[in-house]
Amino acid sequence: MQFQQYIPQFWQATILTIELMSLSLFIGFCLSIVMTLCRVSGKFYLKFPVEAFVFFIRGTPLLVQIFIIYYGSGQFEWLRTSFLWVLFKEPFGCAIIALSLNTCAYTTELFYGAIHSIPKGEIQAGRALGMSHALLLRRIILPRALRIALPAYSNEVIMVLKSTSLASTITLLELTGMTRQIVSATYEAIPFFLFAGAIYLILNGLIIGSFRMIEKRLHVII
Amino acid sequence: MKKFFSIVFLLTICLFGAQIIHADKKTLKFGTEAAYPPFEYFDDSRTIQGFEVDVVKEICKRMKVNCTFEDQIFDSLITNVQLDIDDAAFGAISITEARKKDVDFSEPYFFDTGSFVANKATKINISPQGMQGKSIGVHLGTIYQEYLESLYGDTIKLHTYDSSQQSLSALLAGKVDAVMGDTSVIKWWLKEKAPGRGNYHIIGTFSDRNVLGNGYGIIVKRGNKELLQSLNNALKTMKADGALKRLQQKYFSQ
Repeated sequence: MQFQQYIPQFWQATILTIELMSLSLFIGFCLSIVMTLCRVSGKFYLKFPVEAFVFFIRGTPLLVQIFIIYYGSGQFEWLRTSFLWVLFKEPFGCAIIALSLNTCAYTTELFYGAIHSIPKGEIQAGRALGMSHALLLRRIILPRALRIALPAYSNEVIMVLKSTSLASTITLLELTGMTRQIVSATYEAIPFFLFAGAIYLILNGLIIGSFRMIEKRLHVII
Repeated sequence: MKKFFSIVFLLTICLFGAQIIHADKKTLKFGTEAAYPPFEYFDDSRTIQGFEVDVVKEICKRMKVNCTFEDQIFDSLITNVQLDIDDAAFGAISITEARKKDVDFSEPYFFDTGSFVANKATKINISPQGMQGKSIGVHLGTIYQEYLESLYGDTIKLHTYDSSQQSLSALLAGKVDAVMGDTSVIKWWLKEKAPGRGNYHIIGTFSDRNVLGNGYGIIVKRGNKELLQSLNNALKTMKADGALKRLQQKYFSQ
């Protein structure tokens, strides 16, 4: 079998998979910090929209969300004529939107739980020292919450990496899509899917390894 | 307790006995992708219908065997036949030299051409210049994908979908500028399904036998001479007594 000739395609696809993962993780992470702060703000008009968003995203399958964003976006004439269409027309844009919103919802839930598990005494100590609310957030609450959430967040990163395979359903040639493309041309399903699986395994191995390292350095795990 | 065991024993006998009787008449398992009207599709009661299904049912009747149909994705059909998951498969599978390396084909029973369909508002024509930089939707693993790749290469952006229905949905959603597929399927879509039917039209049709193959055939595992022979014999009688022609007229006369 002419396996070597497909290596460049696999390389390209792996790059695309990593791009999808890191971009949506980045957007999702930034959004989730804002959303978590909204959620713990105690103000109804900030808290309610975030809770509704998290409920809807967590309550529906990612594949359904991808289809709705990809096929559904074309229904709206105003969207097709607006500048946003650049983003919605391309499968890459649609996949990034879906993956980012998804990881954002899960991460918000994660951070929200982490903030609640910070020992009350630490926050009270901060207040007793006369810290303002902003300083308390910056110096105590967020760093502590992130550290608590770290092991669980590595799960989220792995899930996002595996979720990128769903982008193949909207024609993106990431690792899964490219493999299916090659299999449809060669009819050699088993070796190519095994190879793709091995690449996912290596990528996840790297992710797990780096999280272990960070956890050790931050003394999350003793 | 004894009674219980004897009942279990009797039941077992009954079940196995039923299976032995059932196995009397041979059953052939056919794979197809039932998302391809009018060739094969699910009707409202979720049974697989269509032109090719009727052809295969007629073949099985003449071979005096039972046949079952299972919905699978198109690009796995050949693999499933190779792995003995299916005895045979059909689904507008064009007979091409490339595919003959992997499976054996029956005699053809239908010839189709390939067509491009696009929105009337889109400025596009099928010349290489007219296609430059356009997004074209196509069903993954079909000959049209190979055709587009060989004809236009990297000058077009090829989007491959899991089914021809999805590629047409993408055309409606404005994700691609044109879609290429079987002419009969596209005509059926234009007539029956396309919302705002007037907005879409066929911009070009290809009937290049070198690339588009030599008609549709049923595939069987390589070397399965016995099955291939009986399929071909049945097809031959159907061609001779006009049964095949009648089915074609039923589905494709407009």
